[in-house]
Amino acid sequence: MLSVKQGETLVLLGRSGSGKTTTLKLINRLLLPTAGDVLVNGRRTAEWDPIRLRRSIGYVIQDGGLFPHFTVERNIALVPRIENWPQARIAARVRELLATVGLNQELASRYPSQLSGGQRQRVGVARALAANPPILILDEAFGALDPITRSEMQKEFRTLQQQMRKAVIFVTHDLREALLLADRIALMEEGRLIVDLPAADFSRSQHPLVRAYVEAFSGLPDAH
Amino acid sequence: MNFLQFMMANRQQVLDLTLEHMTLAGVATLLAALVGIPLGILITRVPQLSKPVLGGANIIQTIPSLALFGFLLPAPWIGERGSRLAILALALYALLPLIRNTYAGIRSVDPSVVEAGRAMGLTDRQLLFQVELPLASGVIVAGLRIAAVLSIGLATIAAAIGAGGLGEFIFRGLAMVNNQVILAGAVPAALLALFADFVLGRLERRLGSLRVKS
Repeated sequence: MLSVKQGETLVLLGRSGSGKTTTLKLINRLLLPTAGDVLVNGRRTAEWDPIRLRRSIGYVIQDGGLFPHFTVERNIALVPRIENWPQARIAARVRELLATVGLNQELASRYPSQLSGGQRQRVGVARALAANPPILILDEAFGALDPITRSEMQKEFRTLQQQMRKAVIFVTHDLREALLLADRIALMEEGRLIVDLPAADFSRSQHPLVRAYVEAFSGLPDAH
Repeated sequence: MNFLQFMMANRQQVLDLTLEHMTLAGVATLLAALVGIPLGILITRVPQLSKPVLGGANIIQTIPSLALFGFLLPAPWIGERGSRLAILALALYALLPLIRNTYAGIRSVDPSVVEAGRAMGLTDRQLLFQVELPLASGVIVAGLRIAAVLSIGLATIAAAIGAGGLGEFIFRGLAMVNNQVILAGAVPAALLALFADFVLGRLERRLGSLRVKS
């Protein structure tokens, strides 16, 4: 059984096809479980109104998944708009979020195609945070970035999370990223949960699959 | 005299027939759009219907136009006025491009964008109107363009059942074996079609650039 508390960052680690993305989609009810239960705030996802559930979960995917026909501002303002926030509050929130994710205010009127990959990813994070959801799920969010931008984003995200204390589930196949961001790491393989350990203990685990993973990334510091 | 002189000499009639022609084709295209676009949206939601709906529209298109006019003649209300019959027949022909392009346009929207929208909590309606339709609009207008040009061309046959339009000149000219009269009908009709193609083509490109912004 896997659980995440408010303020905690759980990283789902595993190779392609291990079931990490499927697990994420079970949380925001893009998929329903065929066996067992997924509970959000104590309630089964099948019992939640899917729209209300999804609007209370921020979702960040690779390359942002931004709407190409919306400006940056409209992209970020998406959930506040459909939640009928007053215009002034939306405008202020967009300004605030651009600053939070480290983007220049003048990018607000640009289109996603005019941004770099790193900028698009930041907009994706801003969009997910817009309605201040208590839960954030990220699917290989920094995977498409160059190593330097990726490292920047990881550090900034970690700082952000330390301030925001959301319940974060972060999917990655990169052990270094997991060690940097996680409070706990859950290793998955072929759709099964293998281990669920505090990040600090992960590299020391003697479980064969963990060892295989660590060796694949050998030569790295297991600092946190 | 050449056909330009003929047209000048009969310019009131040329104008009347052109207006008539535009009305026939315009109303028909509009009707086809009002039925075809929602149908196209429907079959993206209910995939089991896509084969019968597209198949049905396809069959209509394969019926020779004059034959379709003939089939509809005995129909009550429709068959009473030539213009009503012509508009219905033209609208039926224009259905396929509109249904098909709406369907194809929506299905060609990047699925990860749609999924992102769904994951953020957009309702099905919001997804349709804020994401899918805007991104499909270029392809849909392409269908509209095809439908319009088709209608303008087919409307020339409407004169055969007394519905008016530039076909009047064409048929009259054929009966009189007079080229100038034929051209007085054919040339404006061709120009109308080219104009519609140009204007809608511009719109199509404008809207198509929306999805390229990705």
